[in-house]
Amino acid sequence: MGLGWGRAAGRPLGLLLLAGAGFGPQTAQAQAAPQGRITISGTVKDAQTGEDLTGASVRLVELPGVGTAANAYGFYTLTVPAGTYTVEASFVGYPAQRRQLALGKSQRLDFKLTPGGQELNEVVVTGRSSQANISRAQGGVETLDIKQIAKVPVLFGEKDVIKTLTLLPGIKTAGEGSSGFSVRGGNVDQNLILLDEAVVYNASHLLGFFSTFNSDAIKDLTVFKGGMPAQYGGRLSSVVDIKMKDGNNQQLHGSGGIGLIASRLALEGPLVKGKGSFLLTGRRTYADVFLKLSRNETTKNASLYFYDFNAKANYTLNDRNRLYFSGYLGRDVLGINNFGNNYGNQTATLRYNHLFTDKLFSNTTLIFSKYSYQIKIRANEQDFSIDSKIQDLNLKQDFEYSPGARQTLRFGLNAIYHTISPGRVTAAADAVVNSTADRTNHSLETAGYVSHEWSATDKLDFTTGLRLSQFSLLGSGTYSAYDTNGKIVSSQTYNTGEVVKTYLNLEPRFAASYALTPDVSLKAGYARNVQNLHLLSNSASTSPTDLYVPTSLNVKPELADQLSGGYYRRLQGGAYSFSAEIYYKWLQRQVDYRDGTNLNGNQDVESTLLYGKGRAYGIELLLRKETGRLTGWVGYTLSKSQRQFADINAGAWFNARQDRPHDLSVVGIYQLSPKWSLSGTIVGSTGNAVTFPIGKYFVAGQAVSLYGARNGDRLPSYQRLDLGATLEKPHQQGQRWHSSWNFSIYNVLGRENPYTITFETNPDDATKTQALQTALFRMIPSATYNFSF
Amino acid sequence: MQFPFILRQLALAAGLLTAASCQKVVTLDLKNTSPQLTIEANLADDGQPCTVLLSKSVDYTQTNSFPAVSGAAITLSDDAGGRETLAETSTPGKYRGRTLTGQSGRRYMLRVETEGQAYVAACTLPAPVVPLLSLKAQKSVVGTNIQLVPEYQDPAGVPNYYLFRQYRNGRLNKTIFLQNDEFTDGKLNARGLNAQGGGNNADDADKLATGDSVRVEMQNLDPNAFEYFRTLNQTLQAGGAFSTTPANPKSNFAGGVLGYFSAHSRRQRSLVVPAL
Repeated sequence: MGLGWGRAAGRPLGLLLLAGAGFGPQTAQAQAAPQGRITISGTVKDAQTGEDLTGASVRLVELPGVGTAANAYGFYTLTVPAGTYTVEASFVGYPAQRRQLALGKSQRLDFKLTPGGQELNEVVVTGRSSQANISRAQGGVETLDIKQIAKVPVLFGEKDVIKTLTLLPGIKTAGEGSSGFSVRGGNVDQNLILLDEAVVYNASHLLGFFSTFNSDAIKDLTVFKGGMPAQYGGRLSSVVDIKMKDGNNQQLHGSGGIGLIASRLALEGPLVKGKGSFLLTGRRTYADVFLKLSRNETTKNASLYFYDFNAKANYTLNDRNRLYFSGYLGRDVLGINNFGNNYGNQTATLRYNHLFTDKLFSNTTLIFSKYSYQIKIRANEQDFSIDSKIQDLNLKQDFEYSPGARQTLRFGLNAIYHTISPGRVTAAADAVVNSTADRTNHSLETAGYVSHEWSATDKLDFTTGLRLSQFSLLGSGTYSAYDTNGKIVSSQTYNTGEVVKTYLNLEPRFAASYALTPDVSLKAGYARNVQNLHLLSNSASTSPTDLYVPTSLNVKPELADQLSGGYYRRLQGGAYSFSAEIYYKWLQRQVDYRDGTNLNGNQDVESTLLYGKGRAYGIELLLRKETGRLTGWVGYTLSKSQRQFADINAGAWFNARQDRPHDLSVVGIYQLSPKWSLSGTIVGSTGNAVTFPIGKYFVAGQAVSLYGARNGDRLPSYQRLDLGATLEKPHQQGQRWHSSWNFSIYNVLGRENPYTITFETNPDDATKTQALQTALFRMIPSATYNFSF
Repeated sequence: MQFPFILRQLALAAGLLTAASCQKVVTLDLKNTSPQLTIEANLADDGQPCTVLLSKSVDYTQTNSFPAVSGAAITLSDDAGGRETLAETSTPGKYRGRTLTGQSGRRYMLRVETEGQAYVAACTLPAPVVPLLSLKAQKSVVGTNIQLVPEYQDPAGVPNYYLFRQYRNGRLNKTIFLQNDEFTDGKLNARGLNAQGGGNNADDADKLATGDSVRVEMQNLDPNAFEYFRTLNQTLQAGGAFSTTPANPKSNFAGGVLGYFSAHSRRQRSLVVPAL
């Protein structure tokens, strides 16, 4: 989670952080213990797997209110007056561990927690969020632990963090079966999706029916819906921070699953026992196996599958230094007759953790991330191809400094070099098409941030941050300025590395929480976010050929200002939790394109763009049951999301496509017996805002729909019930092989939820027109066999 | 054309994946608007005078009967000083000229005045006219259908825009087939006539079979007329998963009216579909 480590007595640094420079060297020296104060620091890990326990709580039993949480690397630090204490480390699903110590000087204290015997019989769905949600300053944060979502029924039985995420309030799927999602009324491209800090540009496989994240490789996922801390930036609406598992550093283990249309295999184990570990996972779908059953030749010979691999390794050099490597490679392959498209993401992250002092933690990260597609077409015995990529080289330096137990200072720098190549045709001279010019563009995005977490009193917490972001479009290439009608006003050619245009933006972030009682808190926050990469999509759902355009002479950085507030409460000693959050978001410099634009292969896309603004507001209610045989949640969102463009809808506000005022989701998991658990989800929402005809007219020999205001209509409402059951053989002492069956039925009631509505001439009566509704999935049963050893 | 095949392939792939999908006709509570004027004006280089059709839009749920607009004042003029008034024919709403015919390279202005409102469009009949060299039949790149390939030599160095209409045994296929030379400048055309969404459902009556007598009409279009038909095709396929937000086509008439004015060439070729 990486949030809130470092609370208890100390002196506030105040707002000195606004100075924004010169922290590194000075703070690194500031380790002398004043007034007999000592620092305990160390790591909290799982005793059996060696996995870092991100977010584990470390507190002093004798000093109520003095405690901290382990960071993303399982590291904690706590500075307190010298004395004799009982130090307690705890984490959801693990019995607390206590050590009594006489602390006269600073020392290291590592905890290894053993998971409690509740592994099979007690399902904890929401885990660490309950207590942390009360005390941390940030609102609008949700964490999903991969273990917790394993039993939620999903499409095709393939558990999926992104799909499960959309069951939380404020997060809405872009459409049935889609991996795209909208957070608090934002667009699908306004989510920063990070896999071990690497940006994942296209988070979907098979046109969105699967997300790119293999749950075997994922440890946890944290989503920030608003008030994101200053270390994150680059997207307007949300941050989805996904962490891969480190791998077991004690023993070699394997796990996998065999499903109806996909299978998975994972292997993890120590590199050097106790010091380093690795994790390898792979997954492949075989949806195309079913195509072979078709009688249609084209369908029979089509290929349609994806595969992906995750790899991670870490090695602890010593108490102060640790290295991590993580990588992802995924590819979709789609081939029909003479047409082939393969696309996917590649990411690689190299990280170096270094402890300068027991109060100053540093993480240096080098990241490579790429999304590309290649389309190959064979026509008249000649091949030609269309290639596109977006690639980042990213260097990050982050520091965490904890001067006292009541405050933590984070600061760092980040530089990303983007290379974007829009679809380019390559063909032989005698091919049926011509090659097109290379329109690759380069840009440099840099940022510096300071974020200060401060427990002013036992009840009052603040997180104050400031991010300065800079974006420069670089040569070489020719860049033009356009007038409001999309006509070129001026053009200039730039040399390699020459700056075309630079934008600087300040992004203040602020969050505060006040604990009314230990179980009730109020929060408020404000955040400004800037976005410099803009996705243009030609379709209602996400498509592999969607186009990214950088901020340029015409496209200005998108801005979002969000004000949010919330009420959080734990009930019955933590058995239940309730939260109510409200937000209002102002969006500026939003990008859309003119009616009738075709983006595919468009050689002059900027001429088709329009710029406008948006607003989104809503209230999100969430009631969770966290313990007992029945666990789960009920989430409800009431919201609105609108846009305004001078050249769309005659300049009037219109509903964004994803504007769905009512959105309800219910998730329940019931442990029936030690062997069986049952689960169910109910999803219901208003339909998407769409444009229906307001009449028809006759032209070119046919009736043509006449359209009015954009998104002035709605698809019918959406409702779905999914059921699942998991059969697990109770764990036997000394037995390594462990297996389970997962059964699920997607859309049990077989409701035909409208995916699209199209308008056409009645095939039986050419004098009439009709509305034709397409529903994607009426009822999809699936079974998956999972195993581990 | 752009890369229309990409989206079609994606839609096809999505179709394969979602064999479980189901369709049904639904009744929706649609909004209505006051009747809107539609102008459809054509002038070809085939020696025939200009024809203009005027009609009004109706509510979506009504039958396809579009009220004709009579009594309009329509004038056609060209950049060579020609000018004439189009007279309404015995078919209400249908107007026809008498003397002015379409000439390659000439620019034409059409003015339509009705109910106190005037609408003006200008269109150039392209020059030189790219002739239709021959017609071929081949198996479609996707599926087992037969498609026709119009062979023509695209002139290099200038943008060219083409529209094709296809007749099977004398019956017009409603699909508007469009091609341009954005990616094929100077090439001998090898692209088949693929439905790019338009023309509502390509119904079985349009499917080609061995032995069919087929005829293809090729038009060289003015860029703005092409833009109208391109966006008209988008409107016709609107609402699908891989389509943009529906909008009305971009008319080349000023004054806010539905429809178009196209001055174009007209070349035809016929073929009896051989065994493939």
